[in-house]
Formats: sequence, C-alpha cells, structure tokens
Amino acid sequence: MVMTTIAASQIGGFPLQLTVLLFVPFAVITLFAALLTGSIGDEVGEFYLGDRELTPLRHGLAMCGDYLSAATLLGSTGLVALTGYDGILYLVGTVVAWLLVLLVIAQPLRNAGGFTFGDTLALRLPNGHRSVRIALAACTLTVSVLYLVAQLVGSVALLSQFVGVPGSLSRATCVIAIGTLVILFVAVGGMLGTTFIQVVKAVMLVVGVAVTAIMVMTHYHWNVNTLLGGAVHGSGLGNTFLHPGLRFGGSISNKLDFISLEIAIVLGLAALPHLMMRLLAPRRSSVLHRSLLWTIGLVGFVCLAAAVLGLGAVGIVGRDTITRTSPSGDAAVLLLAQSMGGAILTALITCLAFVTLLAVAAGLTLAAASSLAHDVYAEVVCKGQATAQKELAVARFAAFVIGALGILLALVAWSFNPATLAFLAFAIAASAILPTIVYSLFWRKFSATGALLSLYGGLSCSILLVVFSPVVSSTPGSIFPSADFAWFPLNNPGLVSVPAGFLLGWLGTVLGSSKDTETNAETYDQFEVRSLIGAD
Amino acid sequence: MAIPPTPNYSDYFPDPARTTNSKSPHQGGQEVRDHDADFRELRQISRTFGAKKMLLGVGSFLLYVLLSCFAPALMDLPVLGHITVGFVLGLLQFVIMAAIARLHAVHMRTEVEPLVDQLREEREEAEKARQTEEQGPIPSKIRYRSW
Repeated sequence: MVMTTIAASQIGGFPLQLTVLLFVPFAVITLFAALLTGSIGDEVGEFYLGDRELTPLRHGLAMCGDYLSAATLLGSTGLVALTGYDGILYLVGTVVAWLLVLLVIAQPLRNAGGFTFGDTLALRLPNGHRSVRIALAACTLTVSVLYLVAQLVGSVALLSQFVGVPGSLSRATCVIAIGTLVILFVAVGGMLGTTFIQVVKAVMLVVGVAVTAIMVMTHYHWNVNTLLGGAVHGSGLGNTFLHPGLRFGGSISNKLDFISLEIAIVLGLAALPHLMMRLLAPRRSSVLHRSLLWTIGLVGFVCLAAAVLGLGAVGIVGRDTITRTSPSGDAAVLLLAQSMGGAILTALITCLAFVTLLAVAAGLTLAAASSLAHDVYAEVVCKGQATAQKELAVARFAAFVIGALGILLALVAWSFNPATLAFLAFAIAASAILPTIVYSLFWRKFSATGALLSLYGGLSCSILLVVFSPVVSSTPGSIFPSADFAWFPLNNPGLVSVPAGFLLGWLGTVLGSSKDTETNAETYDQFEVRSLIGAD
Repeated sequence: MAIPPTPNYSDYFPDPARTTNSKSPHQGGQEVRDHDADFRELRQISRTFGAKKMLLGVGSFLLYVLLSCFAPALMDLPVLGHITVGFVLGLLQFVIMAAIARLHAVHMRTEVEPLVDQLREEREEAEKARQTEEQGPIPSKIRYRSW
C-alpha cells in the first residue's frame, strides 16, 4: 500500500494554492454556521441525534453526505478510468448496498429507537445488556477509527496529487488541520453541526459532480457511444477496456476477492455506526422512508455521474497521464477537471474532496464519541445514573480523544491506501455488527450470549484474516513487503468473516442456557410490537 | 415561571410496554399480539414485501456480478456500437434500484402507515381506559406526551 515515490506531479502547485484559498474561508464560514446552529444547551438527545424534525430532503442529503466519501469522488472515478467495465461493476454495488438498509434495517431500527444501537440492544436483550453494550462499543470504535483514519490518510493522498509525495511537515500540517476541524465540528456542534456540514457537502458534491459530468457529456455531444469510443481510444487497451476482468478477472482468487469486496460493501453499509445514527434520528417514521428515497436517488445519480467522469477522464486525459500522476487512479477526476476547466475547476473539485472527507470524518467521530459517552460511560460506568450535563461533557471530551487518536494513527499510517482502509472498515462492520442487528430485529430466540459471541467473534475473525492477508505481508504493496505470513489469499476478509459472524451469533444463542433463551423470546414479543408500530 | 426539566432518555424514547402498565410489563405487547389480527397482518405484509423485493434486488445484482465474473463472453455481446450486454445489465441495476425504492415508498404510504396509525390509536385507547380504571384520571402531561 506504499504509494509509488516516483509519482511525478502533473497538476502542480497553483491549483493547490487556489484550493487553500477556497477551503479556508469555507471552513471558517461553515464552522461559524455550525457553532450558531450547534447544540449549546445541555440536551444530550440533541447532541446525539440533532434536529429530529428535519425535512425528508435535508435528512436524505445528510445520509447521502455520510455515505459518499472522498473515496467515491476520487477512488471510484479512478477505478472506472483505469479499468472501465470493472469500475462500473463496482459502482453498481455502491448503489445496491442501500437495498438492505431500505428494505430490512431502517424502519424497525428507527421504530425500536434509542440514542445509539446499544439502547435498542438493551431493550431487546435486557439480561446482561451492559456486557453487550461494551462489546458493541468495541466494534463501533474499531470501525469508526479505521474509517476515520482512512479519511485523514485520504487528505494526504489528495495533497500528494499536487506536490508529489509530501514531506513530513506538510503531511502533519494537512492531517492535523483537517483533524482539528473535525474535532471542533463534533465537540462543539454535536449532531446539529455535523448535520449542517453534511448537508452543505452533499449539495456541493451533487452540484459539482453534475456540472463536471454535463461538461463531459457536452464534449461528447451527449452520445454515450461516442463517450465509450473516446474512453476505449484514450485507454490504449482497445476493446478489452470495456470487457469484464481488467481488474477483477484472471485467477479464481482475484474473482473471489472481488466477490468478497462486494459483500463487504453491500452488507457493511447497513452496519456503519455513523449511518446508524442517521437512521435513528427522525422523529416520524414517514420522514425516514421519504428521506431514504432521496438518498437512493442522489447516490444513484452521483454514481452514474462518477461513471461518466471516469470514462471522460480516460478519454480526454488518457490512461498514461493518469497512471503517471497516481498509480491508483485517484488523480483521474482532478486531471479531467484541469483539462476541461483549468486551475479554477481543479481547485473547486479539490476543495470539494477536502470538504467531503472532512464531513465524513466528522460523522464518524461523532458516532464513536456517542458510543463511548452513552454506551460505555452513561450506561455501564454510571449504570444509567449519569446526569445529562456530565454525559454531554464526556461526549465532547470523547470526540476530542477519538479525533486525536485518528490524527496520530493517520500520521503513522499516511502511506496506506485510503480505499483499502475504508473497505476493511466496511468488512469489519459487516462481520461484527450486522449479524447482531439482523438477529436482534428478526430472531425471536436471539440471546445476549449470541450477541457477545457474534460481536467479539466477528471483530477478531475479520481482524485476524486481515493480518494474515496480502494487505499486511507478502506483496510489494503490503505494509511489511519483505515478510510473508499471508496464508489468507484475499485482500478483503468479507467472504469468510461475514458468514463467520452470523454463524457465531447462531451458535452462541443455541448453546446458551435455555432459560435465557425463553425470557428473550418473551421480551422479543414486546420488542416486535415496538419495532413494527414504533414510537412516532 | 417554572424551568422545564431537562428531558431524559425516556422522554425521547418512552418504552410503550413500560408506559402501558408498569406492574406487568408484558401485558402491552401481548395484548396487541394476541387480540389483533391487524398486528399479524402488519407483520405479514412488511415481511413479505421486504423479502420479495430483497430477492429481486439482491438476486439481479448477484446474477450480474456472477455473469461478469464467470461468463464474460456473454457480457461482451455488442448491443449498439460500443455498448455491450454488460453495460445494459449494469444500467438495468440502477433502474431496478429506482423501481424498488419507489415501490417501497408507495407500499409504506398506502399499506403500512394506515395500519400502523390504526393500531397505535387502538393502543392509546386501551391504555387510557386501563389507566383511568386503575388510578383515576391521569395528568394530561403524561397522556398526551409526544413520542
């Protein structure tokens, strides 16, 4: 995952200066706006869930903002630009992921309600809910911090598109500046401030992507065939560019790796902690399903536009230029912007990317801080007796600690591929948290033992598989390229660890004491009424 | 002027079972389950809808991925110029997603929400009747507390 050090910077420093010029006023203005709209009082609920009366459009925009990170804007377009058909295949998965949220998880989860998913579990599994909360908090923290580090590392990767591999001073400046902004947004603004920046970012992202895609389509006279023809020509690969298998073809393990990645993406989304907080937020269930309609529409639109951008980039800029600037293809959309709109459009897109990763990082920090303050401090340490003021103070402090931890880890791991880190977070969420969500909502006999086994088991299984995968050792791109202890052939553990998480949850429930199971079935009857009728 | 108390957790998410009857917490849930065909119908329609649409969406996506992985020759068949079967199927996934999202919204509006509203009303009535029976009239603050 070490970035190639010979990456010649093609974009140059001028657009970067322009970006800083754009980004700094933006950050200052949104920060003040977030402070003004942010939670000033002592309301814990407001800090965790924000304004619970948001309109469906705004809530949909906020969810879209939480989901679409800089990886979508830069990584996916790059993947399309370099691998054509396979990149588009991957983009389809990004949209299909919402199926599970829409059809299975969202409504019952919101109806059962709570500040965090831990509250829902406490209602569902009252026996031993404290240990379940701790297990859930451990999984939530792992996923959030990993994804947070991916965003912060992404900011360094973005910087390196302009100046080549940045020196230690500019790396530190970049990570610490973004990280500090994130901490400020979360600790001061809470969910209200985070929602604000999320909505602003989503609008900017949709507009920015739409404008650039329209420019590309106009360039090709709105003819898809011409666009594809241009991409084939620019790729220098001939028709193979539009055939399956450029990225995920060849050996069987390569194909399995792709299926594993798709499993992580499609199933992981429903278990991402910051997205779960959004699902819990609306006061009325009708608002939730209307906002999901907006989210799916917007995400679908951005993904289609990303495909156009990727194809346009390879057609207009050419594959060689893209790989010379960044071997992973992250620079594709920036190079496209430069050749179509000069330094100003490049600076706008870069600014958009910085805002995107800032907003996603803020959502993640908030989710982790809520989990620490509510699940661990208020419910376990204080056994539910904490005052609102104290809990809020702990939440703000936790945001600071998580942010600082994220900054430190990002400074150590700056050379990792941000997309790999993000997909690991997805895979861990899908294997550790998703089984517990599904079982607790739909399985009458599910018990606390099953939850503990599935949470800890899914977490350790996915982490162990990553440690023994090519991500960590044996290939030139690994963390330890010279060592070789990679007996697990896949880059993404999802294919094995997700079924393992579900299996462990089932095993723990079946093997647990029968008395435990009976009381849980009784509690489930009540819980089911609540999850279907809900609290409006 | 009295300072309003700081809302705590249960003000945000009152547990229907607990607010229904504090002495026997299971009664609220049980009542709805046992005596209400409407409740079973609600569960039935939500589960059936979810399962069918999941099957459609995930099935078509899985088919698309597996065909792309293991039958690339089929996906390469040209449809029009550079556009191949694979591209058409990929675009079809977006269409299917949009259709499912739209159907879900209609399903929620026309089938689920009226039933939920009705069930909730019945519960509130029952709760009111029981509370009056047991403790006499209850303060309006509790009775009309918004969920």
